[in-house]
Amino acid sequence: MTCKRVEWQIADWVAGRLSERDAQSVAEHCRTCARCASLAADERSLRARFAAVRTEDRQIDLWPAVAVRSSGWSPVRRVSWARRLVVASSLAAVCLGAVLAVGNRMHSSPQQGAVVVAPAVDEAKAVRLVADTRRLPDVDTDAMIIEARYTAPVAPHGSGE
Amino acid sequence: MAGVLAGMCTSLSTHPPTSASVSEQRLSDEELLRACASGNRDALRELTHRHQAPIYRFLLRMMGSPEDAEDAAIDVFVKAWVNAPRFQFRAKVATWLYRIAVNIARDAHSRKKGKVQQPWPEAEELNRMAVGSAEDDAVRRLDQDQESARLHRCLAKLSESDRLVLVLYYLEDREYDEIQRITGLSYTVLKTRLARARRRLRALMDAGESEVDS
Repeated sequence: MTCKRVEWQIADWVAGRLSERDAQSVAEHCRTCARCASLAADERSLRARFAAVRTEDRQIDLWPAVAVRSSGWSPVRRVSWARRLVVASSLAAVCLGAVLAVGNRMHSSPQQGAVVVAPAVDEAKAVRLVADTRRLPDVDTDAMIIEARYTAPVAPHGSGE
Repeated sequence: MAGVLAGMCTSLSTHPPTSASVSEQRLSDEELLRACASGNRDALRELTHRHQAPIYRFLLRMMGSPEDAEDAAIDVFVKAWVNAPRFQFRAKVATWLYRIAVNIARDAHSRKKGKVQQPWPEAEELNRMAVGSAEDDAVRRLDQDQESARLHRCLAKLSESDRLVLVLYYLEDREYDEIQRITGLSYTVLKTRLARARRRLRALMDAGESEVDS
C-alpha cells in the first residue's frame, strides 16, 4: 500500500471505519513508514480532542415555540407529475380546439348549392340568364354563366362603388 | 403472535395514524412524517420531541450561539411540518431534518456575514453540556473544558463548509453516505474537503498552542 493511499484512509482507520482487510493493510504500512505513523498519531490526537467535547442531549423543549410558529402554516401538498400532465394536456387540448375552430370559421366554404356571382357581374343579368336556362334545358347553363361573368363591364377604378 | 401481527399491520399501513395512535404507540419517523403530511399536529409534537436534542446540539455546534441555535431548530421543525407532504422517503427522516438544519444554518451564516459576530462558540454553554461523570476530579474537568473551548474557537475560525464536514464526521459521528446526503457532496469531494478541513484545523490548533507557549 502506498503512502498516498494510506493518507487517504488514515482517518477512517483511526476511527475504525475500515474493513478488516483494509485496516490490516494500513496497520502494516504504518509499522514500516514513520511518516504515516506520525499522521496516524496526529489523527488520534485530533479525535481525542473531539471526543472530549462530546455532549449529552440537553434537556430542551422546543415544542411550545414550534407549536406557535407552525400554527399559521399547513402542510403543502405536492402536485404529482401525473396530475400536472393531465392539467397541461387538458389545457393544450382546449387551446388546440379553439385554434381549429377559429381557423375553420376563417376558411369555411360558402353554403353548398349557392351560386357565386362575382361582384362585377350584373346580378340582374345573371338572374335573367338562370331564368332563361329553365326555359331552354338544352343550353349549357354553366358556360352561359361563365360567359356572363367574364364579359360583364368592369367598373372603373374609384367609381365610388 | 397477535401483537406481532398487529405491529406488522401498523408498520405496513399506508394510512396516516390518528391523533390518538400517535400519543399511544411508538411510531417510526416515517409514519410520524406521513401523519404530519395529513395535518396531524400530535405527530409533529412527537417528531419534535424525538429529534429536538440532536438537531439543537448540531445547530449549536454550527452556529455557536444558543439563541440562534434554538431559533434555527424551531425553524427546522416548522419547515418539516410545511414540507412533510413533499418528502419522498428516499432518505431517513433524521437525515432530512439535518439537511434542513444545514440549509437554515447556511442562510443564517450568509445573513450574518456582514455583521460583527459574537465570540464563537459559547464555550460556557458547550461546557455545561459536556459529558462528565460525578467521579471526575475537578482538574481533569477543567482541562477538558479548556481543551473543548480551544477546539471550538479553532472550529469557529474555519469556513462554514469546513466546519460542517468536521462537525458531522467527528462530533456527530455520521457515516459517509449520510454526510453525503446531508451536504449533497460526492464521496470524493467529501473526503477531499474533510482532509483539507482537518489540515486547516490542525494548523489553527498548532498556532494557538504556540501562542499559549510563547
